[in-house]
Amino acid sequence: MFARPSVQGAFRTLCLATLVAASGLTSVPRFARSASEPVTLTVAGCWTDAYQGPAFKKVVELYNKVQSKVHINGTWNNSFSKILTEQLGGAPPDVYFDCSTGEVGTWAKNGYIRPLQPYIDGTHWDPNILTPSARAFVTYQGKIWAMPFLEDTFMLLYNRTLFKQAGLDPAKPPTTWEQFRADADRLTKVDPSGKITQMGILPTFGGSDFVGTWLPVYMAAFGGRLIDASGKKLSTDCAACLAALTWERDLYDRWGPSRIDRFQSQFQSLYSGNGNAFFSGKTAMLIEGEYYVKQVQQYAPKLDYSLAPIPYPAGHPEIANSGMAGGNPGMIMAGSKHPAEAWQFLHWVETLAPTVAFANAINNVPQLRTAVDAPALDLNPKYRTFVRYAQGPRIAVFPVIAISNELATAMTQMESLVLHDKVSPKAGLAKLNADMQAKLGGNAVP
Amino acid sequence: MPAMPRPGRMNRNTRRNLIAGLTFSAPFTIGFLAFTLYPMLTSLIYSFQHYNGLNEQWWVGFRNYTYMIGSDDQFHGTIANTLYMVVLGVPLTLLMGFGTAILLNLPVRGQALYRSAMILPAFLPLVPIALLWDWMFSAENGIVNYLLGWLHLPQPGWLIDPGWSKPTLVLLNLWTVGTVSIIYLAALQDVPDTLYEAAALDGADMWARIRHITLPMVSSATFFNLITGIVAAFQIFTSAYVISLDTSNNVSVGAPQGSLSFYLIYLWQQAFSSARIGYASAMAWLLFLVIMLVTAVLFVGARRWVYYGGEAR
Repeated sequence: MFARPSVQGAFRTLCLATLVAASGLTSVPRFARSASEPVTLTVAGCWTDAYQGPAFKKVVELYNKVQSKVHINGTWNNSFSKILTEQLGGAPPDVYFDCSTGEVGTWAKNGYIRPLQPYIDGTHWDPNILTPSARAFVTYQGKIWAMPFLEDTFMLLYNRTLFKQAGLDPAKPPTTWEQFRADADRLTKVDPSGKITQMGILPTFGGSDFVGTWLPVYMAAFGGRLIDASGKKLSTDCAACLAALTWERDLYDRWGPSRIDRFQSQFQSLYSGNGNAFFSGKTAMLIEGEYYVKQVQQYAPKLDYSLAPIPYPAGHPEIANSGMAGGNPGMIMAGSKHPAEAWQFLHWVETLAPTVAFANAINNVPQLRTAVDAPALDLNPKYRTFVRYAQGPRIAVFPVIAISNELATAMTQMESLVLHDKVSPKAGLAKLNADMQAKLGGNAVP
Repeated sequence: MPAMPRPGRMNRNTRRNLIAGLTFSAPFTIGFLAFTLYPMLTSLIYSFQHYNGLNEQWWVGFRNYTYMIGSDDQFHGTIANTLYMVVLGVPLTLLMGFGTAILLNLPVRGQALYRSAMILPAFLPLVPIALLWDWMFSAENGIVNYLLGWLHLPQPGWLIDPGWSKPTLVLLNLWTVGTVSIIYLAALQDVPDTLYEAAALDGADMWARIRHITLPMVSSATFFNLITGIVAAFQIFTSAYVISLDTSNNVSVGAPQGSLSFYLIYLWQQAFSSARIGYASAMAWLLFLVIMLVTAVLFVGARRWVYYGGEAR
């Protein structure tokens, strides 16, 4: 006869088995790495587009080919909130390339990324090889916290065919904001029911709630500065900032916010394929980035368009050729297990071959001074125009501060309320500046 | 007379049963302690701290709570949006669920088909449903406005108009009301026919029968649906997130003009965009307390109107 196994006995056995298993796991190294085995590095990229992502992967593959000590697993289509969650959970990638400059300051301040100064000093890397705007958007409180990998800048794109149809000379794009508005009026069409069928300009391309760069770009192009030189005092309510927002609100009021919203809602795609207002000839002018050169080739090859500098307020030619630059900062995450190898990779990224290869693949502006005029850089004249424009002395960057992303989001929310006549431009900017200054000074949220 | 066990001592059988019980419940107990109670307690501690999830952590007392309630305008906006969904969305969901349950309880041919059609949307994942809604309610290209235009009716801005965005979300909730209907349907099928027959003999019309028989008899289902509906409305996230997400940066949510910025969405932004884990924890605890309070009030009030079958009244 078999003895009935006691529950206590089973419990003891279970505990013992667990202990044995646990001790086995901790005492026997299962994955002993030989000295010759390469270090595996995880590099996450933000690029989401169907060809930008694979282009980034090719850069990673190139690095895997040119050296043998490190093997990189590259991924794309990563958002910064996903990476931040991974960092908070203790398992981030070694390197993250963001598609916005909004995180550099916040993440540096919070210790989510590693300071690069020790590596820069250790390898005697010279930051002067960077273009001024690229260097600016990776610098937080005077120190470099990220390595830029290409940058973006903005110009006026206009549809030559629609200009001709409206009786405008495509060789003479608007140079002042006043002329720009007059041209936009002539390029806007409304059907008998009052519905907009074509717009001269979509002032907030992507939607008035789209956290893009339009208001900061307009502010820069009106001669505004969003922060003082010390990086501690915000000035988003400056006179030029107010002029820019008032101009934008007037543009919206001309056709009515709800009619513009409706017109805008039919375009689902900002950067690719069908449903893009500029590609489909539904908006005649656009202030957009250099990546559009490649996008147009890809999605609307027959589109006849030209580029022009961003306009300036009449009577102020001294602030012509203004604009804004952003870019892709590559950051070593605080939880990186191989920071030295991560730095080696970022160091390599700041050389001519990968920079030109990636710039040619996605037509972003190179971040290296030497690459700007490199013969190997894509010779497309429109792309080259963008690249030259980005080097201008009046190209600003969005403030790299501890609340960059929050500031951008709050600006967009305020802009949306102003454009929909819920608050006046002056009151909106005053509240924005006060709220954000309190947060920047650490006097708001505990 | 059987011997009473001495207090403080267990006999062998009792001890064995206790150990067996603890052993079999251990997976749940460990899971509950590690993945529910521990995070809850740590988040309670964080709610009194400035904490960025990594290296900045210090006590701030009740300042997270006082700032939230006293100074944070965005937070106040999310409260208004969320209360809208609770106050308007939940009663409409109950009405719709009850109405459809009555229809689904009628003895008509093909009822199984109707029931399946009604319940199906409730079992579809919310993300594709929200995307579908976004497409259907597009102001310019959506099928809803196309049909309204065909009928010469006004075509609202739906998801681009802050006055219409929340009602559009309420409509989405009504479309996925199947689970509420199923619970009501089960309750309706438990109402004894004899009650209706007696009422008919007394000359009660249909409205009187619904009011005096059906509603009291399904009141426990109403109470259940009310509680779960309120909890869900306070925690609305997925549909609003998908519909209002700015795909350019995957973090800006709440358009148009903040009208779809709900409590949990703002909480998520504070935690995973602005890196304010302490503040987000305080928000989570405040929501928890509010839901607990509302639930407690409803439970107290339920004694007056909820009837559980078989109990003395």
